[in-house]
Amino acid sequence: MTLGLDGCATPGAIVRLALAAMGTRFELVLVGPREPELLAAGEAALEEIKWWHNRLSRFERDSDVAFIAREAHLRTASNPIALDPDLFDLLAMCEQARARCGGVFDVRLGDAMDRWIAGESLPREHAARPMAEIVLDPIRRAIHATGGVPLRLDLGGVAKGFALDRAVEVLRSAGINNAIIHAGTSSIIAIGPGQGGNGWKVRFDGGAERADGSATVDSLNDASSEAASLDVTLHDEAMSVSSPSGRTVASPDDTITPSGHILDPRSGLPAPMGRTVAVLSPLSPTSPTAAANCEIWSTSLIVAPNLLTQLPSLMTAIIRDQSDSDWSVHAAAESGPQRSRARSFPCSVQTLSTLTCPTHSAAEFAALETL
Amino acid sequence: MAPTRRSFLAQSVGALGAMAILPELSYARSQPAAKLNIGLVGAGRQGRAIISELQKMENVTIIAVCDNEESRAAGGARRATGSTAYTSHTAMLAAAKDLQAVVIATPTHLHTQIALDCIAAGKHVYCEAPLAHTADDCRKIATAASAARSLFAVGLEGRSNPVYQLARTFYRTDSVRDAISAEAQSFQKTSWRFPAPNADREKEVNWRLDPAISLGLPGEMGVHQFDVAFWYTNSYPSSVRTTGSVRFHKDGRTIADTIATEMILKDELRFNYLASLTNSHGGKYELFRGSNAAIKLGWSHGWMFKEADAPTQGWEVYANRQQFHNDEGITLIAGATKLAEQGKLKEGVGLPHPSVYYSLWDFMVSCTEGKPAVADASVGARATIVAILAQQSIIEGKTIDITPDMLKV
Repeated sequence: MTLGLDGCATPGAIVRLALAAMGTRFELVLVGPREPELLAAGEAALEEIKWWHNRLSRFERDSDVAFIAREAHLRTASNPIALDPDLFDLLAMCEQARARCGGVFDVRLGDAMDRWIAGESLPREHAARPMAEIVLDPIRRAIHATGGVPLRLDLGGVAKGFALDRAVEVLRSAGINNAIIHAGTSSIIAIGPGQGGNGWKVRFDGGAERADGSATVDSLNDASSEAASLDVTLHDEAMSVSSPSGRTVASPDDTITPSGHILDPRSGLPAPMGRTVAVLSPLSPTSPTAAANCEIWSTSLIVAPNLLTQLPSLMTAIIRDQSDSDWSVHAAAESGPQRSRARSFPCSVQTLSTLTCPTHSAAEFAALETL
Repeated sequence: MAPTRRSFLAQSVGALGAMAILPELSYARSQPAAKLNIGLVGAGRQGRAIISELQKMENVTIIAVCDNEESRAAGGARRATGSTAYTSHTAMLAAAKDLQAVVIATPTHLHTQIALDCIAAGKHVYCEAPLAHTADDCRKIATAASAARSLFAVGLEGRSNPVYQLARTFYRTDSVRDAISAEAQSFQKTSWRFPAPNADREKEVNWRLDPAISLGLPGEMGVHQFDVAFWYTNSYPSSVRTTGSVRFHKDGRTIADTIATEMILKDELRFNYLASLTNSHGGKYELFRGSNAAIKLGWSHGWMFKEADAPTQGWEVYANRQQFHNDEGITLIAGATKLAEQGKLKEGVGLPHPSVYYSLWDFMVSCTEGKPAVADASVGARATIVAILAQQSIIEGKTIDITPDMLKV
């Protein structure tokens, strides 16, 4: 993904910061009158992301998610685990999404993801494996689990967007009104008019893939790839992009086969390869989880394209089914007339959705911005 | 399933070996014996972490959250479901009749009056470290705490940390043997500047950068790590020398963003401490070197690096290990005996809660079971006074000799 800082029309300062968290790289660009205030606000936003990394990671033994896995099934309705209200709201949102998506989105996949990462074949036993039921107490903002097995959450399909949402809250409370922040180039929030006053420009494409599912360097500069890319200008919007690439399976004859990193919770099967989905949502004070919702829906639409009819109001989905097919734009049914979001953006291409390792160096980031 | 010979050996040797030299340091602790109603003063970043950890504990209820900034008080009360927000600690003490204990997590220079008022009101108190921003204030608090019937604990987290407790048993035995040196560092990349809601509040919010009240890196970062060295060596320094300067954040501040401290502990043992806000490499750790082994502590993890000629304990054969460049560290695991018995030793790597959880836990248990504080006001005062002197050494540009009278509280 390329973030655009087009022109230098606005005087003042620009601050760029980055943080390694949630297995990826968060980066932000802030525009404002004075650097010290921008730096303070940016660091506070990154601190917020770090906070949520420490709370939501299933790989950190002292995280809240790990605590829930150890304790929730041992608690009852009379002594549930009290949660931070933001974490409670996140889990409530995930449960609502599970219901709305018919189980296509499900955060109770921690155990399955561990076995999937370890190379186990899941489908045969997945359906028969008992799964804990989440019980949320909205009065006490608390959780416990039933079913007699540990509740092993995997928030990988929502945590980065949620962290971005919380970070943007911090930025706004610090008076920042012109910034862009992304999580490993897969989720992004843009606030304000951008440096040039015309919005924040982002380009993404499906890119040509190697056999192992990663993007090739050539594809990033390839004319045909560029032709297949899509340019988007974001104005106070969140966007998330999903693609099932990035994981490979080696067969006994050493053949490397691309195999998605997104599982269908209903079957335990990986989502089919080839599809790329971007979901956009406007930011508003009444939707403090815009990026998290975009992540939920971009992931869900990879698994189940038929869910387009369920897309929440004000959301827009941009989909390409194969790397050589055209992008299609779908607005939620309640959102009114479809609108085309494609814009031209004259700079090089950074593949958003097909990077094996969703990080790039600060130097690379800086270079892209100045193109 | 019947144990295999190997798993049986692993469990048996692990258990026996651990029992032979380890105390039972389990983090699978029982809940506090009685219910405890808590009030939190200071709903900033540390206050938020404290709320999060207290909410994990059964029998503990946060009934009041106080902060002199109204929005933060309200935000804190929102996080602690069922609690009431206050904008002054005196209002909280007057109104919250069921309050039994208070946790103080305000800026350091505000600790003293809040602590004294809470002690006078008969509340148990947990105060974050550093205890206060002047030596006189440290002594005032320690004097009031020693005369009170209620408990006073200071949040020197190392003393409650199960990994640190376990590692200290190694340090105090032949496993490490002759102490050679102690060192510690705290490196992070941050401006130490926080966003203020308006220009008027900028100085108040960024109190860490105000030389009139800030203890700088020695106080705000170092005191926890200094105390680990004091606790491990059972000694306080006879002198301290700190150099420091603004290496990177040249935004008009005078508080050093990079420091180096040297203290002389008992038996001429040198303790060297580095801290910086300009680079994060290596993060935060303490390292104790002995003639048999070195122990490295990283707050959630700990490792022992043995010399080749050091005697081998039976349990080491099955211990969990991690590679660090050319060195192999034995992972120090709290509750190793129990985990080894269950064949789950590897699952014990790293603490299951953040470090602050354990010092809060010890405070709750002390309050409800009448046990002494793990780090009482006198311990907190002494560590803080050393940190104050370390900061003073930067300003005066000289070594400060520390006499026992200077640490008398």
